[in-house]
Amino acid sequence: MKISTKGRYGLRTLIDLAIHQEESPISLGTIAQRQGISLSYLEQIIAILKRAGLVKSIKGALGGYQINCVPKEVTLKYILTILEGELKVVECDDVEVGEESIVQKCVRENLWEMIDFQIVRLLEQLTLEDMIEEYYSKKEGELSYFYSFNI
Amino acid sequence: MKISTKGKNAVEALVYMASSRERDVWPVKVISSELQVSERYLEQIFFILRKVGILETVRGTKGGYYLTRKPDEIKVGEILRAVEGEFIIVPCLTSEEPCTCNIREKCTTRGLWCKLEEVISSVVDHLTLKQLADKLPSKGGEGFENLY
Repeated sequence: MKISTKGRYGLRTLIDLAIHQEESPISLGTIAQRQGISLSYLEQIIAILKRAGLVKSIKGALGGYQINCVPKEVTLKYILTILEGELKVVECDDVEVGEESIVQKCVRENLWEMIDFQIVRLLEQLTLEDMIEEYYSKKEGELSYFYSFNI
Repeated sequence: MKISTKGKNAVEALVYMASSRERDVWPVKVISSELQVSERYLEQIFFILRKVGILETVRGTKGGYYLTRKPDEIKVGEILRAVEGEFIIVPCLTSEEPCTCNIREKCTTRGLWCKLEEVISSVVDHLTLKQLADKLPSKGGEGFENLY
C-alpha cells in the first residue's frame, strides 16, 4: 500500500508553485532543483497537472509554470486522484464485483471500502491551502536559510 | 495506493474460516474454491500466516489449516502486516534512508502521509476477524449452501 512518487512529487510541485505564485513563471529546472526531482520525471508530472488545469504554462524566454487554481478551493482528494487514479486500497473492477463470493463481498464492504471512506474523508477536508500553511508554520520554526527554500 | 491481492485474499480466507463452526480444520481446497484462487497460491499465503502464528496445520487425509486463536482475538491489522509488511504509505515514514530530499524534519507533505497511515491503522487495528465474520449473512443463507 503506497502513494506513488507521482502522487508525492506532484503534490510537492503544486505546493512549490503555490508558494512562489507571486513570482514570474517558474521554470521546470528551478522546481526540479528545489524539490530534488529529475527534470524528465517532473515533465511527466507537470503534464498531468496541466491537463487537469491546476497549473498553466507561459511561453517565451521568461516562460515557465504558474499555479492556475485557488489553493483553498482544491482538495487533496482532487489532487491525489488526478495523480494516483482512484483512491482505493484494493483493486476491484466491475467484473470482479459481479463474480465475487459472499465472503469477498462482505470483506470488501466492511473493510476495504471502510478504509477508502476514511482516507477520502481525510483528504476531502484538506486543501492545498492547508499544505501551504503547513509549509509556513514549518518555515517559521526553522532559522536556516537553506531549508526555507525546500518543501 | 494499494493492498496486494495476497493481502486481500489472506483476509478473505481467514474471515471465511472464522465464519463457520461446521469445520475446525479447513482443507486448502475448500477455501481455494470459495475464493476462486489456486491451491498453490493459497498455500503461499498460509505459509506466511502459519509463520506468524495465526494458522496451524493438521497433517493427513483430514488435514488442513485451523485458526490458532479465537476470531475475536485476531485483528485485521495483524493479518495485513504479516502478508503486506508494515503499512508504509510512503517510504520515508519509517526510515530516513529512502528520503533523498534531505529535508525530513521540514518536509511539508510528510505530516500528511503520517495522517493517512494513522487513518488506515485506526481501521485495521480495531477490526477483528470475528467482527467481519459476524457481518456475513446468517448461516444457511445464499452462498454457503453450495459448499456442503
